[in-house]
Amino acid sequence: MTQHQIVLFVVLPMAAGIVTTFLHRYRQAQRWVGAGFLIANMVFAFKALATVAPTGGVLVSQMGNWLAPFGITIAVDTLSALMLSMASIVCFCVFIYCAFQFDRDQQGGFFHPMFHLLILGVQWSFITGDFFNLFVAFEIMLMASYAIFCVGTSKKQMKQAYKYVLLNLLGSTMFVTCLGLIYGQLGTLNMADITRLAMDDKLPTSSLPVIAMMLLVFGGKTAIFPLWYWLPDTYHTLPSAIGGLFAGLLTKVGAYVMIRVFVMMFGTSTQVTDIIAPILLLTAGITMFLGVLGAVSMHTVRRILSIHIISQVGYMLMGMGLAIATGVAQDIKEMAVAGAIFFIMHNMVVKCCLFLCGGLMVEHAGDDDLEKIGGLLKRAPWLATLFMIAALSLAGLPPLSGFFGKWVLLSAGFQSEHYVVVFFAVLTSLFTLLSMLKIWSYGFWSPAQGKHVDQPKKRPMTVGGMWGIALLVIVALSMGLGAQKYYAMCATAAKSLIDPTNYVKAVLGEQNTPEYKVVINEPTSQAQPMHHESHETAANHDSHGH
Amino acid sequence: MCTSVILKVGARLIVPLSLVFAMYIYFKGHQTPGGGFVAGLVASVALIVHRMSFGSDSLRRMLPISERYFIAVGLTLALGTGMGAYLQGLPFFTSAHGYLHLPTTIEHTYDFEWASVMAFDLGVFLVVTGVVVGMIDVLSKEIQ
Repeated sequence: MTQHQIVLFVVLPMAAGIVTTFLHRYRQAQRWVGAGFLIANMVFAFKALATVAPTGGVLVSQMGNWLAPFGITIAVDTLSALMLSMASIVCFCVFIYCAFQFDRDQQGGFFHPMFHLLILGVQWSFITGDFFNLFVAFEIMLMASYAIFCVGTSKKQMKQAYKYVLLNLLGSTMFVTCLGLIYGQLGTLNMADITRLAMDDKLPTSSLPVIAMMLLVFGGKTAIFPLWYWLPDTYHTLPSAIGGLFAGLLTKVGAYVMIRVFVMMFGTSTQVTDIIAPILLLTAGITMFLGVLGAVSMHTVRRILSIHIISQVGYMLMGMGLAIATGVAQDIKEMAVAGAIFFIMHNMVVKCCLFLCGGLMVEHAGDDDLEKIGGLLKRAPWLATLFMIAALSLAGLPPLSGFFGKWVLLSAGFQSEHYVVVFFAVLTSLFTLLSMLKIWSYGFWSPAQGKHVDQPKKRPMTVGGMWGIALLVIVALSMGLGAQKYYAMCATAAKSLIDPTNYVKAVLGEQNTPEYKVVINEPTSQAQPMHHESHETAANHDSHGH
Repeated sequence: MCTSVILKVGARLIVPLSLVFAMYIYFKGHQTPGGGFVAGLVASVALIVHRMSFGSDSLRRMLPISERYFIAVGLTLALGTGMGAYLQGLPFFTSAHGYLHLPTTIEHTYDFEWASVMAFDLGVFLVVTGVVVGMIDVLSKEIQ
């Protein structure tokens, strides 16, 4: 994959959004076109990963050929490539599910364009190298998610949608305020440039409160401990597939951005990490433990799964916190970040898969209240199998993917002697298993009740949805069985995050890309005299005319 | 529909003037304040004034295409501008520009600087117009 091709991660979903808008009366065409674009997207994501992962290189493209700290940069490093690959898989599987399971109303209107524009926002936030652009990407993502929120509208859903919109508007306002203040303090919004300032220890002390304030912004999006109240209330009202999409992508984008900002950009500056690291570690413990307690206390599938998102975010925070905590050795820091990245990837796939399973449970049993359903094991044995695999990998039983993510994080915690967080992480794992077994034993094992008992002849069509789930389970299994390979890529990503010299060099340039020469030379040799020349030629032209 | 004669007479004056002014802002926007976004807002104000005074049927006759397609066409133009550079192997959105010598009188020409970004701006113009007119159309239909 060449440098400029990375822009395709923005172009493809946007093109898909445009084409499906034109086709909004032709549902079948919309589906095929959408699937085609998503497959192309997936192929490009894998190509990008294959290009950057072996060497830890960075693909950089400067938008409009403007020089790096002034123009907008997009960059794909190993972390971005990993996120892009996983996100594109999740999108594709959710798309299959939606295309087959959603009825006419739910797929009507502008559902398909909004779906693609949501992906546009997600992928853009993974590749952007500019802080303000990150805000724009977030906004696109949120706008699309507001629209998708109204899919198959119920009154309950609309009520929660208000909450979601208001909270995110507040978050966006804070975000853009932060950006303004940061631009005022540091004079740049280019991520690589800010990283350079932090590495040279040139951050003014007055910028610290703003940086700490960003924790609130991203924390709200990621749903960390004091800011997670909006999530369990909103996600469970959504149709399962949409819930899965949001759970698999939106909160994980927040986690990705937190890694990018607090580990890569400001992780090298001790005055920032002294403030952020203790907060991260503290909230990590509380987030994961309270989250899982909430999940155990709930009685509907979607509610359990939504609150679970929060508890899983705790593990990611733990990795980030360990990565920037003072007095932790370099290799343990790398291990912690690699663990966090692995965990995000695992969580994207598994969480989304569980949500989709929950959706099919509703199709079969007519409800997802665990009191009212049961005996799905006999009715849908394949669904039960796939659910079991996904649930156990979420709980972290070896040899499934969750185990390795937690293993790396826990051993990083042990080696850096942060025993309290480790204790909570282990405890949370146990409760996770408990809450998953709750869905299993009530939903699948208990005596049969629900729609499938009342109307045994009516089998819902679930083949399409099963394909989506099966694909996700295969990816989750491959992450468990081939954990070594995945972890190696995460470790490459972690290395370049803990020591971001390469990233900075690749973006800001050390005359190593011929692109820069063109950019630097052009304005100096032409910009000034251009107007005079053109006037002269115009004058000459005139005089010739006479 | 409660429209007064004053509004109807005024609209006949305001609508074409604002549309021309929108064009002016659009062309001026490359080097000086202005551009597709503001031009789009001005144009949509004109269209909305027309809708207020002559009703939505009249607006439909004026704009036979749904505003949704305005948005889609605008996005296509914007994306196409970027892709033009990309297909030539340059970074996305790299701008091409040059001068048009427009004869104003026999002795003078006016150098109009064109840039490929104007196509992008036209896209922005269409998107803004489509969004504003479409939203107000839907909202006021709901009120009625």
